[in-house]
Amino acid sequence: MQKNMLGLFVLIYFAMFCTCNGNENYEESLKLDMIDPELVYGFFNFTTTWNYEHWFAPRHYKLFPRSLGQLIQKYNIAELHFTMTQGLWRYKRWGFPDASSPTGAQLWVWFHKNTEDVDKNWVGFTNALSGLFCASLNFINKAVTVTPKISFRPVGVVEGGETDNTFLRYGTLSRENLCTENLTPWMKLLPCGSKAGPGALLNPSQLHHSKFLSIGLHFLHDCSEGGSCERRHVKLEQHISVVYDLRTLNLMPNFSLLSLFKKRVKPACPLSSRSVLMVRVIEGATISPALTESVGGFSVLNLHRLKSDSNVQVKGLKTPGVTTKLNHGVTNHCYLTGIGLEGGFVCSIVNHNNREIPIIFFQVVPWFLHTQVHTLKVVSRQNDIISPAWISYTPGKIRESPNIMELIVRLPSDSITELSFHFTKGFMTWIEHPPDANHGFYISPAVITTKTNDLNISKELHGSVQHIYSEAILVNIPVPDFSMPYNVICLVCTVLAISFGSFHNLATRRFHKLSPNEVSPVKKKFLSLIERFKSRTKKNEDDSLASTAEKSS
Amino acid sequence: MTSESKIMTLSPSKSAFKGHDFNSEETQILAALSICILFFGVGVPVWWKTTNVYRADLPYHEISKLHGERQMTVQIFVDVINENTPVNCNTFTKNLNHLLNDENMNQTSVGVVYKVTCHDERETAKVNKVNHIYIIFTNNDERGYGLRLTTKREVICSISDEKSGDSEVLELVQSTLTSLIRDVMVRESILKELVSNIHQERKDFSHDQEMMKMIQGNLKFDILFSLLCPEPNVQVAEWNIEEADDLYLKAMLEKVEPVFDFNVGSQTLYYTLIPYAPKVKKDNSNNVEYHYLTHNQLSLVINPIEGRLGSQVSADPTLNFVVYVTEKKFQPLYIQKNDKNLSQSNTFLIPRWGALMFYNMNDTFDVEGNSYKKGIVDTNTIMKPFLNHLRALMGIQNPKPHLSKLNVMLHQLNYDGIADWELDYLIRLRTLERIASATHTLNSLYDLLSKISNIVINDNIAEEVYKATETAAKAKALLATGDLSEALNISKISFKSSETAFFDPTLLELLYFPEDQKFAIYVPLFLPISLPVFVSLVYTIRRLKNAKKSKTD
Repeated sequence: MQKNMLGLFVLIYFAMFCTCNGNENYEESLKLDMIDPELVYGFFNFTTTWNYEHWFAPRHYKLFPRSLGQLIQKYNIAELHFTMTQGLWRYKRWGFPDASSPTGAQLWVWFHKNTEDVDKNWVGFTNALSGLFCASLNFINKAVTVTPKISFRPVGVVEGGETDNTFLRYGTLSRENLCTENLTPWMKLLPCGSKAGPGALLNPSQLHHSKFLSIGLHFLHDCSEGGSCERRHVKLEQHISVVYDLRTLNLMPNFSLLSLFKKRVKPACPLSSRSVLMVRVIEGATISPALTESVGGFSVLNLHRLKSDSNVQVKGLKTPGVTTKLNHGVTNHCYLTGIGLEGGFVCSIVNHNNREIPIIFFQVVPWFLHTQVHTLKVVSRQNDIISPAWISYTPGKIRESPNIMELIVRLPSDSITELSFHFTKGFMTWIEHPPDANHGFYISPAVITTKTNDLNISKELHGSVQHIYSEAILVNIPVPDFSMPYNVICLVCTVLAISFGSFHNLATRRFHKLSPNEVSPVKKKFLSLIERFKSRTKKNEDDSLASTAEKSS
Repeated sequence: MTSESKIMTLSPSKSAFKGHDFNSEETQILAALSICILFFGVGVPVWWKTTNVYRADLPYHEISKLHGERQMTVQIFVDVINENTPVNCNTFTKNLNHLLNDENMNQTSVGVVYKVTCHDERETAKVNKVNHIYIIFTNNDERGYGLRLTTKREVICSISDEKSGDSEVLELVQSTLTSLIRDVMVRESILKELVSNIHQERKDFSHDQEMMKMIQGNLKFDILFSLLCPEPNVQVAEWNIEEADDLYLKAMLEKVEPVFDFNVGSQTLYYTLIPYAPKVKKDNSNNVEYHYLTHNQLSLVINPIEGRLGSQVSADPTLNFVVYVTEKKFQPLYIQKNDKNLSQSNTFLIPRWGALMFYNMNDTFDVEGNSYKKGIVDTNTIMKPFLNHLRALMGIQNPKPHLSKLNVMLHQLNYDGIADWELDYLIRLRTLERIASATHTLNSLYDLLSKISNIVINDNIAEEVYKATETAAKAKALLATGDLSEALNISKISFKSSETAFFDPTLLELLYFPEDQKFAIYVPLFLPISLPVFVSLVYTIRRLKNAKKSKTD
């Protein structure tokens, strides 16, 4: 009932906004939730929608950021999903997030079907985006880029109805860190920046004091009215997910917005049609000031009604006794096995549902790890061999493309399934290594795609499928001695010089006998030099003796 | 005894090489010489060939010729048409020709040649061809005479029959026409100044201010209109820029399309503040307080907002036209000119960057359910001064035809904002600029290549250089024959090719390879090999000399 009411409110707001503000709409919200008494999870959501006719190609911008709009137009992008994440989302302990993202940077783009050269646009776009966000996305080159067959489907509407995989590009950079320099341009895309509403809480230095921080940018086409989809709009969603550990921040029994973000929440961005702060606390704790509105277990503060900067406090948290385990549908944990040049990759996938569910397993392995697909094994804990319902394997090409593995596996009810394969480590030439080569190389996180229904969570999530990301795994491959080329040059030159010198000497010198009594001219010269030196030192000594004698007298 | 045996073993065994004395002086000299020949004849060329910087063949001779003969000639056609007056067309033409072409034009950077011809029919005048100036004599019913400059390419001399015979009147008309053509329509002096400025040999600085304002070089520009709303929580401004673009801008941009390619866009930015402190003054007439900014304060206005205006997608330079909605507390805000009067348009031009307007929003209205007020920006008030600034940025100045005793009437500009003769002037100016800068760029490249040996010239760059050189020469020839539109098109190609060649990143590929590193690689090989070769060479020469001496003795 409450949910319906909220929907109605949104609709009324939307209708009101439409009459006065053309065809653009902007909503902002912050959801503060407690994972357990020690962890606070904040989810910022900023959504801009823009109705359009025929084709999205604007020249005049208002709420939608122009810098991004131009990129989308220039590179003919239909749908764009970009996340940058610091830290690892712990699905087992924290439940399922509002926006799932892997460690590092992830970018996947659906291009329009009239794109002539997708690869060229992709390269151009990654470079432009890296300029926009000050991130090294330009390292998403052809050796990293893949086109997943079934794992990443469009979230929004597709022109013509049918999807064609050739227009999809996907790339991850697990090594990419999320820094303030990425956050600042991201915030610049918001209509009100960090000047109003929940955006005012985005304090870069404080956000980085968290256990987990992720920024996301999602652009897609959507239907304005359900069903017929005659009118369409574009939708730009910007997310920030942040998890704070209250214990490390020393905020245990009470915390507030001010102590978490070192900022107060400001009145809503005047351009937004909806601006809310939603808080849900653990049982026993209280919110002050008390928020009267409540939707779906969350206490709601309408920032449009806020007159001045304010603070929201949460009091009376109790240290946990026993943490309840969150069993949400499917979890995955991957690790490495093997020694030396032989390696193995194992993922243990847990199905908490009490029914058999299908999942898509997707793994990209870099080209320098030669995977052996015959070693691929899917075994459940009960030692039952599961044969995947569908397998797609694309072997990598050296320096060209990675190995791509995509499987559909039916997980038995309440089971742990182990998926494993072997690989051998290859070699890279010395110039191919990145700076700090001894750090190792990342295998990008395994992606599990499940139906949203199979996750068994009460949260409302976009889309019918969700992605679960595992850890990014670090592999050490043999590192060469980087001073080697110069050593080789020096060594070769020395050998050449020595051999050349002796041959040259043999060819050009004249050798003749010396009689034993005869002293060689070189020796003679040397002896005379010694003689001269001796006499000179003697003379000097005499002189100094004489001078001292003079002085003493 | 031991030394003797050592030497014995070192000497070549005679059993192996029977009948040849390898220990003879002749053999050794031969060996040393052949090693030297091998070293210098094979080794050095191979090393040179393998390490040489690739440089494709370039038209050095043509470039230096182009630069040497950088003086340009422009031919302009002046057609005198006598409709129905008793003025003797042929004599008038002769005199005018004499007046227009009197100067010794060889000494300046641009020589302008007028080809004055006489036509007795009106028919030809209807053509309105590019690079033509039509002087039309019509009968004036009243007793008098006058000159009118139309928005086409016509100067209409209306003269009564009575005055047609008056030689004094005709002389005045001739001299006025001469200065009108030379100083207003063609503006020889600024053409000369611009070209000599590009070649860095300017002596005349009379048009300095105007030239500083002009945008330079590029063929393509982005025009970006930005509406800055610094306090949307108080007042939100909106504008109908799409309509204004169609209404005011489109016709002008279409007209100048052969010269510049403009791409128009707009954006609205919120919470972008200019940190300024205007002064307060009371209006004497109606006792109303107003705020004003002096010229000195304006120089600091742009810097804080520039970071938010730009977007990196397009490689072309942007012309910014910014409308800044003044804060409520500073309203009304005006710009005070140097003469202490307030600026009418409330805008100011920033040379080569664009223009900024302070917009005082008067009519604001409440929006239901929101705390802020809303106002609509009147596009008519903003577009008129902006169009004027755009003209100045392109290089067109408003004519001031107070030339002599005789006043020249000016026709109001059409909706497109540019007269035909102004367009001709603009084409002439920009064609000259492009040819001159292409010549200058090619010459700089030539200079750099002769100074820095590490610059690589690939084949495609050489191709561009050839193209630029050829087209520059061709455009110059076309200008001299008076084919202005073709000269413009060709000069564009020349300019583009020269810029592409000069700024190509491949030129710099080896520029940062330091010399000391090269030596670090060469020394271990070259020093041990070349030293013995040189020493043996010296010995050989000495021995040969000795041998000669002994022979002559």
